[in-house]
Amino acid sequence: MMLRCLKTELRKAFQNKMFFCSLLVGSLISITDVAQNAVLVRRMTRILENSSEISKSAEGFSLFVRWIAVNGVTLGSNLFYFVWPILAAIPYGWSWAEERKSGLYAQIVSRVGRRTYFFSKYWAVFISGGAAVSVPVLANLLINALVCPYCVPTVLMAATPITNGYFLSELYYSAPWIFGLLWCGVDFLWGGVAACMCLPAGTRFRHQVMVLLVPFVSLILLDAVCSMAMSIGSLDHLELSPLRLALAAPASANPGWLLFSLLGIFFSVTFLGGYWEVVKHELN
Amino acid sequence: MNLTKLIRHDLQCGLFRLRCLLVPPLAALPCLLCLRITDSAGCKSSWAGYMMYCFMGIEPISVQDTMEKAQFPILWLILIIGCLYLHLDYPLNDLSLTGQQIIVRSGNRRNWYLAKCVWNLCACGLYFLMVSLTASLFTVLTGGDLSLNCDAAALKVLYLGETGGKTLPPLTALLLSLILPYLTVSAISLLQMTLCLIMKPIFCFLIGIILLLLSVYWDSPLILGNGAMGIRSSLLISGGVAPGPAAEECCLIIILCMAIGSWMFKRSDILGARD
Repeated sequence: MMLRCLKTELRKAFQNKMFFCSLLVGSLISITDVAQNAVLVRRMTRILENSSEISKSAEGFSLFVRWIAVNGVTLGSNLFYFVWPILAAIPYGWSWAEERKSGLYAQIVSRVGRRTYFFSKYWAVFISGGAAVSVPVLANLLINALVCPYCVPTVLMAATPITNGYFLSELYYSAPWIFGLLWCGVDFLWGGVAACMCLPAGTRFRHQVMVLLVPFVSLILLDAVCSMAMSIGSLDHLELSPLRLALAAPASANPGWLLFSLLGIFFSVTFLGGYWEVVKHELN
Repeated sequence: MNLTKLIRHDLQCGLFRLRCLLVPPLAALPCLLCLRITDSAGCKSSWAGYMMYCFMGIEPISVQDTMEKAQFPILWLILIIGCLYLHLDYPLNDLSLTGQQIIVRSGNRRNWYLAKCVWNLCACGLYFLMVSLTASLFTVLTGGDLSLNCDAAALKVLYLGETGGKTLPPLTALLLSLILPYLTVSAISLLQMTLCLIMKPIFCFLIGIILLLLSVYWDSPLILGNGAMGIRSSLLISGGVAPGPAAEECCLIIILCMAIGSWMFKRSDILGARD
């Protein structure tokens, strides 16, 4: 029963207009980043061709320096890593609130039970949110590869933003493609947990838009508090903001333990909060 | 039911809501940072100094020239986006509750929409009032000057020397710290409300964010967010955005949104309007 319910939920999550809209917006932002990189690469190539005195190395505009998850400078990169909680929530974050409002929830739980309904809903929201964030990031890596030269980054380059203490930093300098693919997986997890923040909020708001904005508002407020804590306290060597931890190269180090502890905390809070709201609460 | 009655209803129901309590903490974040900067420099900021820091913004990020990490104006964005977020759902809520009844009884859709526009402008005004009150609280608690006088030393510290030791006349300080940001935010908020008539509100909110982020990168006066960034004003730096055209542009957008919105609302299907 659980598997059938999950299949139905996944079909609903991936075959709705909102999922495609989110993917479209994410891809457009991703393409903005590629366009800016293309301009930069053309300009740099012209400079390298015309000058005989400077190094001909393309490291400064290598694919793995200009990738959306790493560069942190282009409009595309800053925009994508600012609005990713919204992009994650758009595909299916609204479903619990909508089904509750329309009465479809009561129909389903009378057939499969609340627990099965919640588990299938949670995973469908998680997977659709993760896909909405990770697909544009992966697409950006692949499309950027058509524009930017492939060049393994070196530690000594000033343009490479990943240093000692960053998650998978050794892999970035030895096998950047594997690093890129693994980072898409990390972004999938971030997208998933952000989308699931809509579940506990689903019973609190009247309007779909307010439910969809819960992850964004929560993460942006956390980001502001973390920025203050990092500047006032002596924690500026660690990136604490979950909003920026989705970037492969945030301003401060993002060690694996910090990344996965925060992911774990978010997962627990959204899962338990959602379970409380959907399963334990009386139907209202 | 005439327009004033509708406006009164909207102001009664939509202006003072519990979520307004979110504004002081939002405004306190840049004020705290401002306090820290002025404290470390050994000077005190006046009310105008706090307000100018809240709506300072940053210089345009140039992608071509820098390979380094850009300093993102997160607190400025939070302050502006906070206003857009708080005023996103009231018209929708009203339309799905009593709005349809009111429209039927008043017999005039255009007035209903215009009342929402006036509500939006007033709600933005209240938002800025609350930000100003938070800044006043900081000024009083830190023993600063509760005035529009901007100390040149504090201004130089806060604006990272961009002002070149200029002292600002009180009216200029008022213009940069309150009037221009208010007009800019009101214009974006009304644009968001108008766009809600043709697309889902979440995408209208996204468009607002994209506009603000575009202004972080380009200092063209045509991009709306520039008016809300004091550091880009021609009153402070040479070659900056002139306040006159920026204010005119905002007023034009406000008027256009009111006109186009009420025209579109007259022709839209409100029975199917839920989200």
